[in-house]
Amino acid sequence: MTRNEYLTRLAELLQDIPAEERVAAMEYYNDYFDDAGGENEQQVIRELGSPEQVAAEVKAGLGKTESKNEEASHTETYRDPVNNDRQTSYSYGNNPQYRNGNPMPETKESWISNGWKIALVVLLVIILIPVGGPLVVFVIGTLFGLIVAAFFIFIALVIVAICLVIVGVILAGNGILAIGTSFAAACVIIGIGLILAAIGCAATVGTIWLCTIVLPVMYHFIVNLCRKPFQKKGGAA
Amino acid sequence: MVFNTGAALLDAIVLAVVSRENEGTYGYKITQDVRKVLDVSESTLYPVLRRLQKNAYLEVYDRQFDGRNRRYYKVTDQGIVQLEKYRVEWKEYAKKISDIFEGGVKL
Repeated sequence: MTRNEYLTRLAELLQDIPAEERVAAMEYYNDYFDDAGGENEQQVIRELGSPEQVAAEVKAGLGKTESKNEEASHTETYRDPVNNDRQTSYSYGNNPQYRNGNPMPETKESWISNGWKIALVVLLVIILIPVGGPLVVFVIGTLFGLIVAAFFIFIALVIVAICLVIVGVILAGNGILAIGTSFAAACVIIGIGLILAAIGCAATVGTIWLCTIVLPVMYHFIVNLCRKPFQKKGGAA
Repeated sequence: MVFNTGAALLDAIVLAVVSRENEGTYGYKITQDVRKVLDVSESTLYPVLRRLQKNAYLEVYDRQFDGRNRRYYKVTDQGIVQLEKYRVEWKEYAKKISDIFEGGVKL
């Protein structure tokens, strides 16, 4: 492991602490390598321990500002630096960009924050199942009922109009049959029947036309509603 | 070394090491100085320095060295007061321990 690899790994491990702390720690260890001299690079890496150890020490130091009498163990537990095959595009050498207070470029693979995210999602699901489950069923059921009701209201309108036509035709037919008994009455009945049939025809055309407009709109609305949760899920992942 | 060095003692030692340099000193040198007398890991001292700095016992400044910036640590007035407290505490503590070891005191 070279100095650059070591420091890059350390910066990665310190992704989840405040930028100010990270910059300070990275400056310190950058200086440390500079002052130790290039020829001592491997010795310094050996004596510092793995980046994981150094990062753990830095993080452990963040919690307390006033030291208490707690025991800090200083046993040398040197482990082989973990081989990491993660390649990072940024590196730094003798140009201490950290002087300018530039925080490290954010990497997306900070495992701790990912772990937190997963834990949060799990917690949310556990909390929401008892409350959210029935609520979701209720909302979906209500929506479904309303949609079906609306659908059949339009169908019913068409049927009413068709019935009107049938009634009109039957009435007119009865009127024609009644011509023999009373011409005047027959004319009235035929007239009413024909008027009803005409209104029925107009209403049938009108309601069917209404259905052709409303039903596709409803269909799109339902499809979009069903799609929404999945789109949301895809966006959040 | 058989004895552990607690966090407070480590603070005191680092504070003492830094206070010996009037112009201030830097991380690598502090580590080497402390390690001359104490078997501590090289990575132990950064949190100590950071803590002392946050408590305003140490101040930092950058100075050009060898074409680059080097961070120096310098003891503050507050740090000197704190160091004096540590010295008094240590004298008492060391005396008590010595007394026990050398058998001069009745418990």
